Amino acid sequence: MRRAGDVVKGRCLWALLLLLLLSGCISHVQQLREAQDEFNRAATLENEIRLDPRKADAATLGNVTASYRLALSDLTDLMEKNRDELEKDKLIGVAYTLKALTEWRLGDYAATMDTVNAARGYPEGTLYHRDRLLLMALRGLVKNDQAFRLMADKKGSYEQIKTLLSEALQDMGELMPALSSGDNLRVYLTMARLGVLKNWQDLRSSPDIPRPPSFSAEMERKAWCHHLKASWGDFEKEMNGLSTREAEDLKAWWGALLNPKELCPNE
Amino acid sequence: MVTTGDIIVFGIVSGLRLLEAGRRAYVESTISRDLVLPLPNFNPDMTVGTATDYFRGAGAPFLEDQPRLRDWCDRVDGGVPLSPEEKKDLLIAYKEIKLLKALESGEVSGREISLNPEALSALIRVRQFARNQSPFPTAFQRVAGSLIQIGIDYFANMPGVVDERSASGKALRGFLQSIDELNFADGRVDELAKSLFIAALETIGNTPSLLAGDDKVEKLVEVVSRGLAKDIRTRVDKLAQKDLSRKEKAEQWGQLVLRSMLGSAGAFVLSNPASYLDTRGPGEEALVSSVGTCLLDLILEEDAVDLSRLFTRESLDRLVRTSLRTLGDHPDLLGTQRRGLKLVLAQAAKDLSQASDILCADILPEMMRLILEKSAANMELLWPEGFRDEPKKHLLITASRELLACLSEQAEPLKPWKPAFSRDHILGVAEVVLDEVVQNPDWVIREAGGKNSVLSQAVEGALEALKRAPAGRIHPGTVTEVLKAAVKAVALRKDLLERISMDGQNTMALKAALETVVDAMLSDSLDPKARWTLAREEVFTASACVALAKLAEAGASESNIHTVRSILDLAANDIRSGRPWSLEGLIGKLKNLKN
Repeated sequence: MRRAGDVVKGRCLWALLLLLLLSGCISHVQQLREAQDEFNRAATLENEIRLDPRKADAATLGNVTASYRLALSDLTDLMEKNRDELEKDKLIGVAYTLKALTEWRLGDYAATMDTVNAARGYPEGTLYHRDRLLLMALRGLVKNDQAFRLMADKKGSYEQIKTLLSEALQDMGELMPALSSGDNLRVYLTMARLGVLKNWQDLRSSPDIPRPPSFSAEMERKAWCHHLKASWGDFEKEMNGLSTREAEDLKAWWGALLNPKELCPNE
Repeated sequence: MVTTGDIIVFGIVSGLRLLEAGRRAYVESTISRDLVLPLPNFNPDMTVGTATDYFRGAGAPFLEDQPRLRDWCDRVDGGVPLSPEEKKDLLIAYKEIKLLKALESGEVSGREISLNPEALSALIRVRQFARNQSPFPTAFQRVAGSLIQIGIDYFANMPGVVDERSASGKALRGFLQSIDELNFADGRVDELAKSLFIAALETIGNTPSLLAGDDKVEKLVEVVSRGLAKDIRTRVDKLAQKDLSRKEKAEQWGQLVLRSMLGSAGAFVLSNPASYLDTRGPGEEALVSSVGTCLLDLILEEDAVDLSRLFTRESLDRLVRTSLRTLGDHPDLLGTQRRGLKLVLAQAAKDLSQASDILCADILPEMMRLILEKSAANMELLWPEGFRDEPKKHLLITASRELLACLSEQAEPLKPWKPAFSRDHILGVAEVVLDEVVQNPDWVIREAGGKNSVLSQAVEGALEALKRAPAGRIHPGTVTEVLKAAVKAVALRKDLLERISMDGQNTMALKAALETVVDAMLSDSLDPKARWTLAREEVFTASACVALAKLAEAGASESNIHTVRSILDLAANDIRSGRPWSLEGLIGKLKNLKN
């Protein structure tokens, strides 16, 4: 018969071994989860500010940037030191996607596209459906933000900025058939397209951006309305499908901002 | 009997299995975690654009009795800035009107639209997998014992797949050597190299001249690819941060130019490697490489004209072939900075774009090619060495600009007669005109005190005369042929541009001659039976061209022009009265016009 002391010793050994193995094998997963948490925190805060600019004080903006930077630093470190483990665990696609999104939000567009291109080579099963589509969506999202930056800096010509915005709409629009109705990524992209259209509206009325000699306010408005009608239709369909109070509020918010029915009554 | 050792080993093995299963479940839950997506950048405030769009849309009736509002909207549409006060007032007016309308229609809910941030986050919190569509088993299933075999697909770069001694192997090695200098630690270069590699592979496979197996092929592919890869990389580096759209465009056109260069260069370059492949000195590009980079620069730089919208793969191929042939004969055209080719083509694009847009935008790449092709014939005369940095002084660019300006002027709206020239028509006339300028540069020289060059006078005079034709009775193809004949006639006898007295009126001889032919063969006053025959495209073109050629020989005097008229009137009478008539007979009589 075994002595009680032997049993305790065996259990301790087992627990110790487990602990050692566990901590050694999953530290890269934990680090990735921390980066995910940090990113989600920053994105939630940023969305709050976007929808209610009164909250955009220096401290909140600082928190957003700090969280993104922290996430990026975690991810960069992780991908440098634990690439093999990430690949083995098929987490590399998640890490690349998160890194590209973080770089995008920090305004490093060249790095964003480098990361997107690097991730594209991974096969289905390592780069999962959402991540693959998100990486594809980043082309359009980056173009929108580059256009926004040119407008804010009062640089670039009307045509250059409009090309960026048109291509952003097109790039995002091309992804829609791959997403079924009710998919949150589809909901997100419909809103992102409305954001692009808001930029285009601001571009059309900006006196700071040099316009081409052939510029016609009426023709531009018509072209804008054409896109707004399509994007609004997609958005409205998604919101109606959700049939929640939140969806109604969101529809009302965008409706007040872009007012498609009254701005483009004949389109 | 089970020993303590067996139990411990069994425990360790089971624990390891469980541990692996648990670890896997943890990893999979990390893959499946939701992401909150931040919205892209935009201004969430109502701006003057919102207000202006409203007043141009459903709110338009409010502008009728609000001149201030109307003025603000007009200024916004016209790109004129509003003062901060005006902006504020415009937005207040918009919001007030909206509120009033909402009150009238009873749509005011009394509840301010506010969004619960958590609700929004829930809406744009994106799952990795849709519900019930996760490819992973649940953690329970996993821990219960299922193990997923994971693996990474390695791309086995097997040595020996590409035989370096084969023709395609040599071409490939040339490409690989060209990209060897790029720093692959940089992700951007990696992508670029991949896309160029695909372009090179496809082109090499489809181009028989590159499969000759010669060592020169290796050198050609290397030199062309190196120049382009460096050029594209510089552009991509500059644009990556600022403008993704232009970066993508640079990559796409880089590939296209590489394909076009490799596909077109083979025959020229391999027959004369000393001219095309040698570099002048360290750090300098070979001629063939300079052609590629010059063309890429030309297409991607949008200072004057966005050529990328005008070029097709076919027109690019043609321009590449012409450039290589021209520069092979005249390498000095590249100039000291190896950018002479770009100077000529860019100047041509700048000078010709406006008229090309009116006539037919596709014509521009072809006109550039034509200018370059004809340039080789008499380079020193057309673009003297001393002016190589001043492409404006290239005589063929000047001639093309004048020709297209004359042709596009005719196509302006509200003019009584508008020939719709096709690409081939314009190129046909341009070819004749440029050939003449190559033979005699005085065509584009303005005489002292003169407003127009000889070329402009000739083309304008001929077009003016042809305008006498009633609408719809003359085909653009006929106009083209007659214009060519007019240019050739003036080339033989410049006196055709002199003014003569014709039926008491002082007019240009060329114009008088053509007007006479138009009146005699196309006018409404002509007998319908005669006009039926004489207005035929074939009959009119042949008669007009022969008449001009003969007047150039015999002299465009009033009496000679009257003789032409008599011959044409006689033909009209013969047709009207049913007497025998033939085109050969008419042409024979015109040819017999005495000096």
